[in-house]
Amino acid sequence: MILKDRLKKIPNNSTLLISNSKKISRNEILNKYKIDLSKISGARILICKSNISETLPIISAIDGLVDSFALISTANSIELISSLARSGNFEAILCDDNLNLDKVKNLPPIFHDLETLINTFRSRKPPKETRWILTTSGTTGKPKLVSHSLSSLTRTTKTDLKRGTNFYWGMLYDYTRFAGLQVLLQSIISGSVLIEPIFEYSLEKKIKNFINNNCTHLSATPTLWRKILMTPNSSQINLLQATLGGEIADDRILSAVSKHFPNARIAHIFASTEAGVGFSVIDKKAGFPKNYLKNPPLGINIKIENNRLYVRNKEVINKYFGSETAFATNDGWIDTGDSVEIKNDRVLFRGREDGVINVGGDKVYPEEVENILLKHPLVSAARVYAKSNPITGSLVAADVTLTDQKTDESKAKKLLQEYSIEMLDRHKALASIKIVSGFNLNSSGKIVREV
Amino acid sequence: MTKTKSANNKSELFDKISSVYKEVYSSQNKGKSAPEIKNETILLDSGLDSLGHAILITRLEEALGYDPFTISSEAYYPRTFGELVEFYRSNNPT
Repeated sequence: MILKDRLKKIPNNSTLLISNSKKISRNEILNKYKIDLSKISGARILICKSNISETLPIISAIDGLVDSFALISTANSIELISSLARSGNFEAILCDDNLNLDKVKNLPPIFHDLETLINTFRSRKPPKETRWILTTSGTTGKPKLVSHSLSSLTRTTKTDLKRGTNFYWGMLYDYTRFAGLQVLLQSIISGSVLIEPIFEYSLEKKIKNFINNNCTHLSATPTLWRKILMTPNSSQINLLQATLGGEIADDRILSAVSKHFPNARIAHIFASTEAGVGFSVIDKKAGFPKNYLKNPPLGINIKIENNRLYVRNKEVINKYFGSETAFATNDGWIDTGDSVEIKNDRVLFRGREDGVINVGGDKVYPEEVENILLKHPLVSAARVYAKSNPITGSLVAADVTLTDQKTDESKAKKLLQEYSIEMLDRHKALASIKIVSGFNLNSSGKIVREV
Repeated sequence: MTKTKSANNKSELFDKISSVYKEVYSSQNKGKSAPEIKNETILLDSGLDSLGHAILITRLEEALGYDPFTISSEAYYPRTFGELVEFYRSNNPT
């Protein structure tokens, strides 16, 4: 069922969106475009608009007609937006007025409103199902385009209007990204109200906005939840549901959120742009039950091989959009790169298999930090690893051996810390340094990296 | 007697934590000196962001020799500077 038909099921004139304090109803979303839309059939459009209130009427008008549309964040650089427009072979760009794309060469025609755009197209055959194109996070390399559909995106969406119409979802994510789009679709399809605060607002102001609008449901990363808990007014949000996703949720944050919001159901979700929603856990404990491996609760297969987690979603096309690069094996298994361990009846996350350190949602490659350290004259060898931290999940730490054993250790630590701040991005800088006398080497003479 | 002692400990601990805070503030803000800190200062308004606070907690572990976030069985996130000091005081293992 296309988005428009789903919205038609919601009672007339219900408010679906509170955008910057302005209420927008289901009718306003459905009836914004009264023009003949058929000319846009079969088109491929890239949408780059910052407000949900503008994008929602557009996508509900074109879903089912266009071949594909991409949702691209306006927070991306002009270079990245341009390169995504080219690699996805889009025929037109529909973007904010103030986005400076006009001077970029070799781009498809640029429009700021849907009416003007439609008039330049000639109707072609509409697709069976419109492809919804999203970008990956790009934290491990350049963002790529992933092809979804409304049905693959709403596979786990709850559609009970009787319950849904009582709920108010707060938006804390970028709505163009997988997690944000999940919140957006969950909210509008079940007839809830979505509260969209101004993106640039401080967290405290966003929370105030949520309190004023009776927010009942929130979804955020563990790092953002920790910040929410540290914001004094946050306990005034009367939450019925708190969802954690995007990073590993540990016992501490699950229990802290639960204590802070005693009426809320707590769910942590394992999902990725490529695989979709893998599973959701509601028992407030870290990891997930081992029996998910045999009986996956949401139909996504899960397996562990060599302590590594793989998932399989048969509904997703396993190649990046506009590219031949596959992100899954021929039989559909996607390597999540997450290292896991089974303890009693629970599968627990142990970090990244490639040693990547997640500092409050930003990824750090230990090799990059090691290479910088090795350039310093004081350092003869270095091993960089994650040190767990209650605020950001982890921080970057290093063990180093010194070229001259007689160097004053505390002086060396201070110098190397300052050096790392100067040479690296803030989140990559060393939070803690240990001076050691030597390392365990493996058979090929490399420093043993423990996960 | 005990009361006075713990009060003293608390102000001593306040001073220790605020001196580490000042160091972290400077290192995170290109050498600028830190603003005045009071018990009621809200942590997220104290000029350090999440990453800054994460670093503060690591430095405090080095300076004080313990990490209350690992010791405490209670999952707690202090909101003000006073709450942070009290969290360190009540979870001191010695």
